[in-house]
Amino acid sequence: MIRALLVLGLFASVPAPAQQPATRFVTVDVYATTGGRPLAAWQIELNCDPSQAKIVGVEGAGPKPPYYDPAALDGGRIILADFSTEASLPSGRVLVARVHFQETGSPVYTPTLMAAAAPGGERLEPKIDLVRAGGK
Amino acid sequence: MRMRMLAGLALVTLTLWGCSLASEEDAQRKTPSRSDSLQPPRSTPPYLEPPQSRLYPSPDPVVRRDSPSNPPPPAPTLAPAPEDLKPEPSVMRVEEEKEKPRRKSVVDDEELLVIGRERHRVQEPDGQAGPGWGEDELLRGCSLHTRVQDRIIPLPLEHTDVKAQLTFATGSVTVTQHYHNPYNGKIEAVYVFPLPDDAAVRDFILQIGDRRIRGIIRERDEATRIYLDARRQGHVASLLTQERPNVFTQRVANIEPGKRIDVSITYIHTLRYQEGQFTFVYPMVVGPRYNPAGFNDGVGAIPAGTVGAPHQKTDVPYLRPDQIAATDIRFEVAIEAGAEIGEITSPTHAIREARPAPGRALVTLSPNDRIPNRDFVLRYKVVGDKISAGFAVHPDETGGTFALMIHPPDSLKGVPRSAREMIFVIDCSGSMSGRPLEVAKRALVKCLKRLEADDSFQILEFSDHVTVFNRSPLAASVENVQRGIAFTEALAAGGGTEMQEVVRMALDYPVAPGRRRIVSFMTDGFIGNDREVVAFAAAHLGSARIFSFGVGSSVNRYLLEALARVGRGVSTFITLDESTEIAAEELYKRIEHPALVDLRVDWGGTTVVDVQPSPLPDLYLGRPVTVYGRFKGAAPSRVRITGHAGDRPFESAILVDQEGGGARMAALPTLWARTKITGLYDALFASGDSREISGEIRALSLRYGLLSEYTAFVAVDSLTRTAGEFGTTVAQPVSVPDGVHYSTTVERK
Amino acid sequence: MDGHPDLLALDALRAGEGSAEERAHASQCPECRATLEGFRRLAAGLAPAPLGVPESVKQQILARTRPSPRRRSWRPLAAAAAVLIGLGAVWVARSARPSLPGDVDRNGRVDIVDAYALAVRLRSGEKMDLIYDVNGDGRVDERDVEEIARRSVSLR
Repeated sequence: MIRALLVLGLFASVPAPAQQPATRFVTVDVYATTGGRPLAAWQIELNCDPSQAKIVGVEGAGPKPPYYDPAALDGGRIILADFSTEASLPSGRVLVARVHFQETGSPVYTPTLMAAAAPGGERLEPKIDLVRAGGK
Repeated sequence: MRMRMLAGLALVTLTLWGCSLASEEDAQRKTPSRSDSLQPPRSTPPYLEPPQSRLYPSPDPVVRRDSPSNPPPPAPTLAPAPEDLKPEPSVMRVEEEKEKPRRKSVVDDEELLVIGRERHRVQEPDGQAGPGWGEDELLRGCSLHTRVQDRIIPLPLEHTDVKAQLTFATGSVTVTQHYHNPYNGKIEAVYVFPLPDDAAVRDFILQIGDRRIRGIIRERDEATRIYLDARRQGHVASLLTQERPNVFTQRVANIEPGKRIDVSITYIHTLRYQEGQFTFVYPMVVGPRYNPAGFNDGVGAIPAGTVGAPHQKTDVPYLRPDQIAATDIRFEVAIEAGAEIGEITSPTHAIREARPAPGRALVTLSPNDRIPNRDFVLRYKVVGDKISAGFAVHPDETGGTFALMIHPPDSLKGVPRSAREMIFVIDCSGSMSGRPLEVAKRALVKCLKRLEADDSFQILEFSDHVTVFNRSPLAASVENVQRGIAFTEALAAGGGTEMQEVVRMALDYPVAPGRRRIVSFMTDGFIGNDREVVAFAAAHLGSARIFSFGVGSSVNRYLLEALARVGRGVSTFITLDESTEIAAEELYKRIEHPALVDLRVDWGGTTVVDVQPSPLPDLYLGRPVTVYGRFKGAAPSRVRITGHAGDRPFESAILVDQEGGGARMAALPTLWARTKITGLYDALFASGDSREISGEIRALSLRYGLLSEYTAFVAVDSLTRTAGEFGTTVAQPVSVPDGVHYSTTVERK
Repeated sequence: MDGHPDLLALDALRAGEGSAEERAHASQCPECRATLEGFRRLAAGLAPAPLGVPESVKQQILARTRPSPRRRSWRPLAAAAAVLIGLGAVWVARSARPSLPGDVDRNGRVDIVDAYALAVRLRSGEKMDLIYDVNGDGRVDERDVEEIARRSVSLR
């Protein structure tokens, strides 16, 4: 899918550090771009090869961590979701979640949008992109 | 194209299984930020260096029983540099509320304790000071009371918040531990603490400032390796492991100077219910355990500040009696009983209650009573003898999970009992010295006085060795009972707790024909080889029945519950302040009439599998039993129980109220899984090393996202790395439980 | 399905026909509303997934293929049978599971938008039908929102 290619492209554009430690801890920030509509609810699946990276923490953009299945483990698959009924909601490129990983190899992180909605329930299809940071 | 998929989806059964969480996230959100109450100190007493504690060498991924045989990586060397780690000038927190007990602790002999600003004692209504505090003064206000050399030694654990939501018969509890670093170098905090022995721990959140990072459950060794790696690389990380069903270790790494880190743990469990009353218990401290010579797999008790190799796999550091671990604890218990709530009481703490609506109540501790070394016990009555929420379901795509409370049929009262052989076993080891033994002796005397003429009885007292009252059980004549009472009253405590031997002596000889053997254990359960003793009792039970009596303020509930479980009896807990009449009452009410044994349940045509607990316990009058199971199709509605009482066959129908009271509980699959794990643990130690059983425990706990001895919660903040070397490990010391003597337990060695 | 209009009548409602009482019933009855929605989707060009309709059901449906005096138009029997078997598939699915628990916006899936939709309605103080009581505690409240959210992220 195009999104996956975009992610790969994004990933490929992040230069690998010259000397990476054998394992490193990185964060993968998940962004949703709605193009003007405020984002009220989102559900995203994140995949990566479990032999390359392990999830070690799930953080939300705000004070509450997003919903996810605590059994998200070595399957390399995690579904994250959250919503907000606040009156003012962010739009544009919104940081929705931050997933902490222990990388032992060179993982590729792939997001898949499962559901998203604007206030009022109208379904949206935001573009999802990932930003990996850390590991220096 | 997409529409077809939608239609297909609409017609395809979705799987809605999951580890549904029922945690009170709202509760977590309301935890106040703690970064705002630091104020300039009133004076600056010099600090000493922080403890050179190397109590906790790296938690090497220990090769557990039957864990996969990956050799653990070499442990990273600790880099303690005590001379570099000078404490900051005192950061004394001047609180708005004056009631907060002060923080004071000493970690080794050279440092002096500081008595902080205030001390509080429990005030009994008649103005007498409550038990447990040896001090003579009651101080208030912000004045510093100092001893010869004042030094404030801060502790990593500042404060604990416990928020419990009790809904019908299930408790969902979130414990938030607030750690901080008052030193000027990084520390790793380590804290060994208890939780209820049937707690299903399923959520774990690391809080750094405003950020909350939810942790992940993993296979234990793997989680430990991740934690060590993160610690080595300077990330703030947290690891929660389980050592025993009721003993846990929390580690938080790379807490920078002045920083605060909170950890929230959420668990659920079933509330004990009997005769119209619910009981909620929050254990406060792991009691000082005795470990037999040569036994290293236990839970150790060492003086705080001990440096050197660990004695046991898990060691708990204890403060001396003149040192008070004033880390305080706050409770907020919200009750939703589903029925009108009657009286709410606590035999252990002074409480405050509010009743916002019928069937609901809110309980907190009185500000004067936040003692953290005595279990918090809360009891509340509900109107109606049999609660309506005796049946609950959690449906899924093929059927579901259910919980059913089975009440003993009233007709059991008509069955006469057979002659009894009453064996009383009383723990006279060092940990019982003082008030616990007094209470146990009184309870035993009351039991002796209620012996019937056709009973026979025996008394065994044990510490390092066993002493018997008589060579063999005696008839309960008036004269013999008097002798027994005299023997009991002369008992004194001291020494170790060699429990396996007395279990063998109580069970391992032939029962007199025509008699039923009832073995009553009166103990605080402070042994490190508790699982081994339970397995031993299970193996030697024969036709006897075990009743356990936990005597003390913070007993090892796991041992008492497990003994009663494998012994097919019931457990009773006697706090140090309650009337000992309870013990005799509880015992004789249960055994006055036979229990319903060989319990079998006919589920009326519904396919029911995997009923837990397995095997089903015996049904005693006044003690209903909750069973969990999984069903296919529709939930069971016509349930009948059969069994024997005495010599008589028994049969009883149970009305399952599905329409009105059949609450649907999201937490049921988790509770079912946790009950099954309890049964598997019992089997594991009964059969020695068994890969199959431990593998099943591991698989179940991973599948349901539960903490167990084979899994662990880990959370790492990958975003930021702290600078500098690893830092010092600081173990959080605790006080011995209220009523227990330090000199006869921790110092005993 | 006692008390409810039969399938043919519901399909008529979808087509804009049918009696006033039937229409009134369908607007209040969640089950019939759901069935009606399913018919609408089918009519919009969906083919239902091949679902084994039990023979007895098939016979029952075919036996009911007779023009009702209330209906104004008449369909050829064969076409009606085909439609009915297709509808029967939906009916079987729906009656076995009248509505997907937690599927608040009725898109056929339980996802976070359902949790959000319920949260919004709760916040507005709307009195919610007990069909949204997904955790079955007799109330529709935040716990049901949490339950839906958890189901939507479940990996199983």
